Amino acid sequence: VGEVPEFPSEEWLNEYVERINGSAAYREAAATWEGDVTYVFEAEPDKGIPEDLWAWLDLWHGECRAARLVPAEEGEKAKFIIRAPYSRWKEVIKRELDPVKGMMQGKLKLKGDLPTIVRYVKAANELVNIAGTVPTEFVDEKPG
Amino acid sequence: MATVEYVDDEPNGIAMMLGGLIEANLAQHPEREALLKPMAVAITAPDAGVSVTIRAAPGRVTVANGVAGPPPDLQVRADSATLVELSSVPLSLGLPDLMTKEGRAVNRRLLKGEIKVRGMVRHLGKLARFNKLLSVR
Repeated sequence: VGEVPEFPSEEWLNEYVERINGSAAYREAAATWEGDVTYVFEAEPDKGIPEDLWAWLDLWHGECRAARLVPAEEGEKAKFIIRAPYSRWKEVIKRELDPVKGMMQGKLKLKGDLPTIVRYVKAANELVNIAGTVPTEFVDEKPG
Repeated sequence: MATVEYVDDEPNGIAMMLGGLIEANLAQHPEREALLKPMAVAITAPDAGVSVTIRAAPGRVTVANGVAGPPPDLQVRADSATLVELSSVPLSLGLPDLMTKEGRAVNRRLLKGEIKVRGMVRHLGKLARFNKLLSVR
């Protein structure tokens, strides 16, 4: 029996990538997408995230070719960067916060070419839906 | 080149999104600068509880948090996801193209009241220009 991956972690990202690559809906919505994306999980020391974590995803034509936690200077080079405090990401993953609504409210901040993101909003929504399917143990909910 | 200015020191999320979209569109399609004739449009996303007022003038766009300043020509009200989708709807003469399924879907939502546009009849030309300014097509 596999362990439930902790969020955020390299193990969680690996499971996420597997599910992205298994999603027909994402493959279709992002068929012509080209560009890497970095998610920044901003530090919340009281919730077990002492410093910002940068998760880089190499997304290309409907698949995720690679993903890993990277240093900030590497993550900053991505074509698109979405950042929010850890607990906001947790709300997104638990589907308590719609990402588009979150961006309109300024709860999630986006850096990158906005027209491209708007053109691929379905693909972005799929990425969020997939994140919600990953069995997840949130770092601030760990027992003990 | 046209400038996009934010009135508030801390623009809200919808101001950053729509202001950023107009800025990028003007940079990528400089010919759209011709659309910058006087108009004021207030946009509200009630699901997110946020509004923005966008005013255009030759060579300049100003973006303000909330419904601010003199009464706008147009007031658009729709949920966040719909507002984003509106930017990618195919247009014909600046209005949703009814020959496409996306254009017809917008029309249906207008009729159902899911998208509300106050001032649409009186300022149809301004609405068409504004749609072209925001369009990512």
